[in-house]
Amino acid sequence: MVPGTHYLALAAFLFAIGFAGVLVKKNAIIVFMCIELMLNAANLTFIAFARQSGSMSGQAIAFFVIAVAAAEAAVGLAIVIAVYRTRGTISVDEVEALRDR
Amino acid sequence: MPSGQDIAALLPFLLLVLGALVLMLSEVFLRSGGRGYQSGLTIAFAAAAALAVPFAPQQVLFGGQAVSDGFAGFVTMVVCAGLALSALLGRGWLETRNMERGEYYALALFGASGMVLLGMATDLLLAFIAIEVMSLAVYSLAAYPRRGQRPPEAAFKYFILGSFASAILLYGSALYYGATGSTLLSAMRGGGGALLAAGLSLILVGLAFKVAAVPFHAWTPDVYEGAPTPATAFMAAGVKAAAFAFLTRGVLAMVAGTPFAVGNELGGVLGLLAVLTMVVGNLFALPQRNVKRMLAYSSIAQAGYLLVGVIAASRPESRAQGTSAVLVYLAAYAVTVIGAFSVLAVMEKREPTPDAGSADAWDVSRFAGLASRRPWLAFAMAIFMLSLAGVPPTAGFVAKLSVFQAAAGAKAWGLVVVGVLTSIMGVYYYLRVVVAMYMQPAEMEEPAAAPPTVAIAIAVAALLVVVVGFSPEPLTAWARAALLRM
Amino acid sequence: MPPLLDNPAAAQSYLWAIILLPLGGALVNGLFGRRLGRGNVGLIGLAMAGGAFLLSCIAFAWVAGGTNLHFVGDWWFRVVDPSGRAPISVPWGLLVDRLSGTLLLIVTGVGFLIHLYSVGYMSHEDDAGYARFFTYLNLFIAAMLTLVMGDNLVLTFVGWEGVGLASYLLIGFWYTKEENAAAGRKAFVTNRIGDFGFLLGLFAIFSIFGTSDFGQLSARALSLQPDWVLTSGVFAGWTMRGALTFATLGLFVGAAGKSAQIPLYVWLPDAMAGPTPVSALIHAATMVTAGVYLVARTNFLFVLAPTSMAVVTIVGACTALLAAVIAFAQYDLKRVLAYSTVSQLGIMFIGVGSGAYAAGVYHLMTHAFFKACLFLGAGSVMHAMHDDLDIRNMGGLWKKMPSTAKTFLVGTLAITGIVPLSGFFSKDAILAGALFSHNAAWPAVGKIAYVIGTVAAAGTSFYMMRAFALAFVGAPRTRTAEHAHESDWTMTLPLWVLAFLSVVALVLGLPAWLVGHHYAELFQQFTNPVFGRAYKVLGIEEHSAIWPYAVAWVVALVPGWLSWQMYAGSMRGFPDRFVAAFPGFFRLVADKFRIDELYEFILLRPVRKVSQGLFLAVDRFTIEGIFVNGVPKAVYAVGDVLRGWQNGNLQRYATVIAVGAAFILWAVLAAGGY
Repeated sequence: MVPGTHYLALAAFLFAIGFAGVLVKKNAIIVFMCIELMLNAANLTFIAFARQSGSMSGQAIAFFVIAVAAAEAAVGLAIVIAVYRTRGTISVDEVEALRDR
Repeated sequence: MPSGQDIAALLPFLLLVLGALVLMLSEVFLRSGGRGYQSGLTIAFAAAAALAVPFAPQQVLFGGQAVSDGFAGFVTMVVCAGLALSALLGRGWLETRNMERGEYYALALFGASGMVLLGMATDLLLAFIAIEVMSLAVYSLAAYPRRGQRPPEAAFKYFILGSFASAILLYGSALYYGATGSTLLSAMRGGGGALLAAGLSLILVGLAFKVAAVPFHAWTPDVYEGAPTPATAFMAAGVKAAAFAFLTRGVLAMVAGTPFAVGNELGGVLGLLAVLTMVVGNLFALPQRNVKRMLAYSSIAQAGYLLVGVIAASRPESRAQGTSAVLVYLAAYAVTVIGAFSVLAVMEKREPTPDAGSADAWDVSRFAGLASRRPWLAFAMAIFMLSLAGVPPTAGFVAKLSVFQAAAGAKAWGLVVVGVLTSIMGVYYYLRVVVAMYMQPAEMEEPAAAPPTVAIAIAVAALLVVVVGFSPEPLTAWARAALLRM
Repeated sequence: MPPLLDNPAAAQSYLWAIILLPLGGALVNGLFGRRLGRGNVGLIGLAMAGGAFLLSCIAFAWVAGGTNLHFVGDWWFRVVDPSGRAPISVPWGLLVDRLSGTLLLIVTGVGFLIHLYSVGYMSHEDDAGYARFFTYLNLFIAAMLTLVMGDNLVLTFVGWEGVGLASYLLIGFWYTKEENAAAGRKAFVTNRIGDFGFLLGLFAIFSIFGTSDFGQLSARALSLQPDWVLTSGVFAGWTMRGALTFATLGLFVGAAGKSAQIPLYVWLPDAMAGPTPVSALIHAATMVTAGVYLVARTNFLFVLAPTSMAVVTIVGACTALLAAVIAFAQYDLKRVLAYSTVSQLGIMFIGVGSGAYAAGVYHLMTHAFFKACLFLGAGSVMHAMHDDLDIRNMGGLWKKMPSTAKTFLVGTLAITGIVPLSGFFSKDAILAGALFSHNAAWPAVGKIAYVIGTVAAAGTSFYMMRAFALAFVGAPRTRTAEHAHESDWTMTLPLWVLAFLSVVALVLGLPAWLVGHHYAELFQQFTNPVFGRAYKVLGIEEHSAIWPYAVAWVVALVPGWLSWQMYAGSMRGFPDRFVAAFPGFFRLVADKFRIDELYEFILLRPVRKVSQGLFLAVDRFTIEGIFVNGVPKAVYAVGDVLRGWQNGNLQRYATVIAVGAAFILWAVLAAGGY
């Protein structure tokens, strides 16, 4: 039996990876995947806590989050495509037309 | 099974969702090109939702995850007013650019439904879902024109950063769940411990992003500039109102009941955010010649004043004052900012050039001499600018006064002094527009006439700003009454 | 409208109309002005100001008869505490008592005359400019009336901001000139600093008394002991006197901004960039006296805070002297008048600061008449001289423009305080009041102010006579001056009316030793219902010494005579004859401004040096350098640096979010000791 804290540590680790990825990765798709990673880290945390306390509500929450994440993916990918169509690139470093000057 | 009472309590939300579906289908079944009725339909649904508010019973919903109380009702009214005004604005703006589609209104209605739900939420999961419903709609609205580079870029930035913040908020909620065994706001009563403190901190980060508090504000100017102006107006009015509503509920829950150890530190952080937001928002706005970006930074600065109200609400001696001040401020700001963006929508260059170099579409010089060419338009814009600057007798003055009075009631003198000083700073850049309109000779080509629906939106907003400025009692009394049913 | 005259309740309910008439005029002219044509625009502006004047006369008749008019308005806003009580409630109430009634007549009366004058003066403007001008002018009248009639400090502040806005718009009226825009900005910034003080004072008063209504404030202030220690509110632990000193000093900072006192006076001379009727109405007769009005209105608070009164007195005295000295070195006619306004405002503050309230307000009134007369005269000269205002280029205008010259002379004599014009009695009443005042905290302050004020009065007498002599006496020094012509009746009529008023206003201030007690100091008697209780608190009794009058007379006459001799009298003839004998050789000397400079070299140079030095040090460096330009520049510089930061890079924004989040986590966890 794996102790509950290990799940939490894994989730925190995944969250950190996702967090760092958003800050450093240049490809918009990968940045987007890193955000999904963060959401799933949160899911894992919910489930681990739910199991610790023996309640089911955390598991139910994870389902809601998965549904929301799916909707987010649909909108997000559409926006990435729109960026690609107008610029021919999805590198986050090249989307800098809007800025103070 | 939901009871009839539950349905009645949710009716404003349900009407907005229904409206969104109807508008979406209208595009499917549309036979000819005439789309004029779509904005009318949107306004009708917004009005219906607003009318349903007084009939909504005070009810705890979804097992305590939401509540339909006076506070939620007030937020719903503000959101519906914002929706109706943006629909009027959107109609004229989209029609002249030949890009009017039912999706625009459907997205706005979906966004509004998310905002209304967020105003009712008393649970972190429900709040997360509501935030996502609201945000996904607003991201799409930002990208709506699909012409040029700016709208997709705005949506892209908003989406990535917004999802990033949502993920942080969700992770914070997970920690909160671990600490309390529930996601209900009421569950933190009397709680403590590092887990809860960390969770609340991350939740605060996520909400601070949505309300555009410094240092989580950087997306605001870019997104506001790039998004189509009606969408920007809707964002500024609606998203801010809904996010602040939930933030206020969270803070009230945090300080309710037994004293709570983490509250002191979080209160300190909130104060720091307020000061930073007021100072940085105003400082950034100062050099802006681009009126749209200036309004974006101004919305950051206004978030700072609203935070002052939230802090006042968190102190026992000024709880009612602070909470009602936040509500009054949200209403006043929503109407004023939509009015300002509506005038901007009339004045902006019809087709902003897509290349990065020319941001002159909203340059303040476009307003030069407006007073002599379009006296009414200039007059209305002057009213909005004075209201944003908090000059009496406008709604903005009433709002600032109530917030600062509440902070004074909480003896938060540092915040009052910073607030008053930074609003003096604000006068510089708001007045730049007024000076351009009234004290500079006209340079640009004759501005296009305002489409009738936009003119109506501007007139209604200006009238409300002035009426509230002269006779704020109905609004403030309503805000107080909303608190009694909370 | 007989009910208005028969029934105070009816008159009360009409008070709002006094404000709404000019406000309506501003709205109509502002929104439709271009389409109405200039005749209608002028007519609307004039009719609205005239209507306000008529209604003011009715209101004044009531207060003169002893009935105060108080329009108890609905509340504007309230702050409600949790129990549902409204501890703070601000109504839309208007109050006309003998103080505000006097101001009401001055504002609408002088305002109406200046509207009339503007019909002629602004006739060179195009239609749009003409409409804009009358819009702003009506707006100003409405705001000023709100300031004067508001029955609470908040409403006064609304008017305060309104007059500031109107003044700003009018200073920058000819916005195409860069310097005008700069002058407008300077006025705006300086006034904002003052407004901040006003707001602090306002908040403090709310905190101490829980109201800003003048009637309630006065009742509560006079029933309390200064040594009480406050137990609640912001000032818990302070004595009443300390808290009131804070509040009244805040109000005085506001008053100093609006009424151009040290160190916030600098905007006023630059404000002369606006059209001359504006200078006369706003920057001489009415708006700039708002600070004096505010101090007089809140007299019941000031009398409980002797330190504040001492500050008011000393600041007023120093301003009076400083401005008088600077006026020596000015050649621009309007700037001379501007500095003289600053100086006279200082004198008024000596009055209201040392408890001579009636004298201060009386001087406010006489000053409104003669200074408006002088400014309008300057405007008339400006028209005749094709916008040249350098007094060195004038001369001999007495024959060319008789009406202007005669009224200007009346104004000059009135301001120098030569018997028997009104300025003598009002200025002397202030100085004598200061001399015989006892400030509880700083006993010497009244005597010091008397000395400084007397020196300032001597200076006033000198430079005003110099300006008059150079402009109107002697032979024309330029071609423009030779071809000057009188202005038309819409401009000269107001001049005569104002000159007449600056003479007859003297009947309100005759001293007791001259006319006996029944007719003595009529204005003092008239305003006694307003100020009487304050006099009692201060322990001021009547004085009847004659020697201060003699001193004042000498002070008015001698420097004036000296100045006349140097610029127009016998001492001037000498160099002229000298030049006639050696025409070619002394052409340079014969040049009239060189003679002026010769006098300056011998007699005025030391004074001028000091004056210039003060001007540079205080005005240009401290105020303009630091407050008006420095602070905004620094703020802009910071803004610019920050701006480079917002570079559009998404990941930079995300990083800031991350750092912010990390900081919050750290702050909450570390500070919480977890």
